[in-house]
Amino acid sequence: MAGRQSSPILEVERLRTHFMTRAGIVKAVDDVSFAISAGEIMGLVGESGSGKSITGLSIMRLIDVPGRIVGGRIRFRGEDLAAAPEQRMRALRGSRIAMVFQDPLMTLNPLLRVGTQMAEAITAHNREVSRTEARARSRDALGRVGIPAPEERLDAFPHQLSGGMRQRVAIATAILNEPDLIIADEPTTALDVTIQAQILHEIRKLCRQTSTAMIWITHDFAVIAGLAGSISVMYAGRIVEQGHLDDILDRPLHPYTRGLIRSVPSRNRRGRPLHQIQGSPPNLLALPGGCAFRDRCPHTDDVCNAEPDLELVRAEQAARCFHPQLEALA
Amino acid sequence: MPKGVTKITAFIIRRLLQTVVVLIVMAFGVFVSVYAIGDPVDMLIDPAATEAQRLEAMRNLGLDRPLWEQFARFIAGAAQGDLGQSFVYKIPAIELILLRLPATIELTVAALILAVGIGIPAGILAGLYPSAWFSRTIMSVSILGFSLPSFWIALMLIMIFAVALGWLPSTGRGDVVTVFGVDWSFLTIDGLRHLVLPALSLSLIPMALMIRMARAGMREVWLTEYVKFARAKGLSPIRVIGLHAFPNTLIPIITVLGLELGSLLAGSIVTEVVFAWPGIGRLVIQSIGVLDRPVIVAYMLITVSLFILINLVVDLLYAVIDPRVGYGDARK
Amino acid sequence: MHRWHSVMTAAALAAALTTTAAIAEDLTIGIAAPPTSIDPHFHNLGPNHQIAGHIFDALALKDEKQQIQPGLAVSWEVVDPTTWEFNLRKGVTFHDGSPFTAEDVAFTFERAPDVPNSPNPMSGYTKGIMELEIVDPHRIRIKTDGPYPMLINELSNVWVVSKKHGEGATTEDYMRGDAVIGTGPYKLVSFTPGDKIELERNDAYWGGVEPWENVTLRMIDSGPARVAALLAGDVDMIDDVPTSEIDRLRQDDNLDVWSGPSNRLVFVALDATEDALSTGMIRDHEGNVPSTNPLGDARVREALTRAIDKTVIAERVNQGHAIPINQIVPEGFVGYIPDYPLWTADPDAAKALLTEAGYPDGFQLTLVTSNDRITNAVKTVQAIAQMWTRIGVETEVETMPHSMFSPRRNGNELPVFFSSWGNLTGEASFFLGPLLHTKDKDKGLGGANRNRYSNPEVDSIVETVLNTLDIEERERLLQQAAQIVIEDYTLPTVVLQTVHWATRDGLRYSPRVDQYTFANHVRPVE
Repeated sequence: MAGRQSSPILEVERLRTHFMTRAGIVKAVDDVSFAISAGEIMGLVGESGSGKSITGLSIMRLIDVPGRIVGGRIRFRGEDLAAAPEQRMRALRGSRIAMVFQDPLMTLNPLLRVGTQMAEAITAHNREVSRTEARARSRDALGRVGIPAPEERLDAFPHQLSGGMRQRVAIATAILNEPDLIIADEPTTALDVTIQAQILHEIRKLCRQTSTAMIWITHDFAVIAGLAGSISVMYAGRIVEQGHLDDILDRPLHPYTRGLIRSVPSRNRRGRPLHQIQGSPPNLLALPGGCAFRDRCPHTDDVCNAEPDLELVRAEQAARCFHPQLEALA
Repeated sequence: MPKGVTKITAFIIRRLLQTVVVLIVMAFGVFVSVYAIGDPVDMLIDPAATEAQRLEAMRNLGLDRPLWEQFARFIAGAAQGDLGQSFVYKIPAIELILLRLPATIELTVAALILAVGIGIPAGILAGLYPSAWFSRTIMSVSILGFSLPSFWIALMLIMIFAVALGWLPSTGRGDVVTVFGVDWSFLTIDGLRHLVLPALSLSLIPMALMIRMARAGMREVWLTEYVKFARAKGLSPIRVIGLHAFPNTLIPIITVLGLELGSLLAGSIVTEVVFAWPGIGRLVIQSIGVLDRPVIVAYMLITVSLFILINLVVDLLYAVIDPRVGYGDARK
Repeated sequence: MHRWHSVMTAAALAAALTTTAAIAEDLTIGIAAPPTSIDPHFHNLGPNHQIAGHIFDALALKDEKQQIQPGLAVSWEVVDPTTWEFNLRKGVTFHDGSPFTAEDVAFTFERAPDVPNSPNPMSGYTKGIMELEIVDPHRIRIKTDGPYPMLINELSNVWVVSKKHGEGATTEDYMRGDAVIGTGPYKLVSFTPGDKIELERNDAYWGGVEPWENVTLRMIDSGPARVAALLAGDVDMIDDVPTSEIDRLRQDDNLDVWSGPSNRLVFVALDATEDALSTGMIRDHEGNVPSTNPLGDARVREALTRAIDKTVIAERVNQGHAIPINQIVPEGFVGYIPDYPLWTADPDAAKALLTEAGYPDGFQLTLVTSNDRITNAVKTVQAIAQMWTRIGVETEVETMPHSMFSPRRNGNELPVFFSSWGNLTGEASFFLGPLLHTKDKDKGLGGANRNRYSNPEVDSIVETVLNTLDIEERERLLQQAAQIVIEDYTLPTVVLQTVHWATRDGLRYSPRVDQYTFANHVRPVE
């Protein structure tokens, strides 16, 4: 699933990240592959526990014991991050690849001022930058994400800012060094809807201006509906559907994807009960063999006892399913 | 006056008022306890003394008055800074304690420095690399620090370093240098040599505590989002640990340190007795044994005041370290 | 005196003969009991006397057996029953070089009893002095109120200070060291209360030059810490060696242990009066308050005394560091009865006595002691309780800190208790007067009589002895009284404690009955 331009900036090939816990091995990410080009925004969608956050952290190589990348390749501009030494990763993090987390209150260190936390992202990668210059760049970044009176905000402590403000700071920090790729893990989930919309707008503008690629991790289709170019849907550590945004939204193939999209409240006709996918997410410690969605799928049959592969069903849309649903969604 | 300064002043004044009440109540408690235990006079006079001599001694010590009157006189004197005269040494109780206090302060501060200087880095190390062999060793040693009685540890240190190896002296305080009228022994080499073993012995329990707290704190903080975010920015590990992780572990550690310092001051008794260290802990044990009430009361007052002062400093420190804390609240 | 003098001369001679000698040698002693003051008259306390004895002298000094020897007075005589004349030593100087004269003695005896705020004043030792007359710079006369045979003995506890420095000096001045000028073998260098005392040799001492140039007395109250300091070589000598360590130290080739009897014995006190029943600590064999006090019968008391196996208590409970004793003073003291038998324990005879007295089923007692004053007190009373229980007197034991024990005992709440007594004068009168004479405020006797013992015969002997100057007559009377009280069985003595010092190899210390540790009695071994 290549993006619009031919050479991808990030190619993830059969990534596997497992956690060796005392209770057993948790295969949080088990055979994930996708590719993104410069300037492209990909949505990585799934419920909690699907492995989407771990995928993002794996790319950043921020997986801690007892977790480990056990297989696959993460090619960033040709370089395999899965095999890169830690020092190389440190040089890349925050400068070529940046990450934004979900809870802005906990993302920013409560004891340090905003300006300090932004400036250090600059000076960590370029010692020659002076304090004044780092501060100036931080101020500009704050302005670009739409924060008013950025000079004062630099001296503030995180608890003095609102949730939306803090998240903008996080995003501003991410763009400070003009990275090639930003991984955003549910960045607007903790914010209210109006702020969400504003931030989405800013992000889209930024990425277009700077050709920054982005992986937007979310559980909410509604959020990335107006944002992403391509989508990967994850379930139980695997990608179960992949393709362009419009194709997936109009004609989703995998029953899980169809369930997810139907669950979006705005799609619902007024007065009707909200759609839910029956059952609950699987226990990753005790995955039943075969298709992981089997127990919740309305279209299961005996074939599904075998493990399906991710296969192209349409020209540029793949699904991991023995019974891909071909009709358009009502 | 700027708002911040008035807030701090009000806070401190509130604290001081609370302190005075606590001190008065506590002094009364000591009076009553000593009275309930026995008669100080019996402890002091010659067993062969006559009845007349005994009455004279009681009069001398002011013990022939009813208890409430003795207490009232004491409070009146205390307000002017006079805490009475030691029944045994016959110098003002305050003077006696102040004479011995520097030795205890030396010992306590040295022990605290060791506990913090060794304990916190060791704990941080153990928290960052929990399964490494050195981390396991550190944790095992910390358990020993908790479980072995301090008396035994002190004697063992003496047997090993003083008797068997002969590297360090086994007892007493070393040479002193007088600075502003106070004798300090840490300013001389001989003094430092005498300070090592008692300080080490006293530091082991708070050190064990620091190790465990630093380790637990580190492990907790390491999992937080802001540490992940700091790493995601590509910061060097030293900066991540030193500037982002460690300061956030400090808040519970500072609380405990404040309490530990207070209990170190008051509880250096065992160490002082075993090492014959001339501090106030040893003094108060002897005084309790002979019911030298003025010294016991003076000791309690000074120790409690120090305790309260330390806690005040700790509270003020929070406000400095954690910008979320104001002066109206206590610990968060 | 003579023996001491000859020892001093020999040492001085030896020092002169051996060219290197121990001229530049220092001595460090670890001592257990800290003095409370360096003012020699402030507090009548053992450790204070111990320090004072290094820096000052008294008119008479006591040798290892606590017997009086000449000190600053070379001789004395009783001119008439109420007048004593003392010939003072000539050529003695204080540490500052000023000469010692009768003026200093007069000043001393005036100042000593009146030190302000003393918790335990020296007045007890100067009370014999009615009037003091300076005959010439080296002769004084003291008039007493009636015959006062103990005068020189009591005065030997009053250290002589310099009038020049002592006049107007307060205890604070002494504590600071300014007024601490004496005639003794050492000069004071520094006194850090609770920590250590530093002394330097007085090269002009009349008793001969000491082998130790600098002496440091370190106060180490913890027994194991003292032993560790000796083992580590931080001190050359320690006193009050914990009994559990003695055998080990004896076996160490680098160390020597010096042991001897002390003047302190332990005893049990029995209250024979009927009032004792109100304490509830004496019960019949069913646990109820009896109609009459069994301890009132001398046979019962004898039974309890004979049940105590003193050899076991000395050998086992005190690990061999005590000497069984019947008498009220140790051997060598005035009042010791020669050839008096030491009874061995006889539980059968004890049981027979109880039956004879009408207690075939025995009865119950509570034996009380303090647990922080006397070595092995708790183990001793437990052993005694077992021995009594075996003869039918069921005994339970109660122990508590001295601060609680003392007021209860003094209030006559404890009819059966265990305690100790140190004899400071070397005479049985010191035991009989305070402990066994009927309590009499006006006469100043019986001040420590806590078991309400009252025997008119003993009282009269004690009072007679107070005024008897003839030493042989005193001895006879004291022996008589001693025998009476021993056979009254109200204060059976148990053992005499031995006292121990340990030194590094190469030092010698002659054990002292008064348990004092004096650097000026520590000698190098040739």
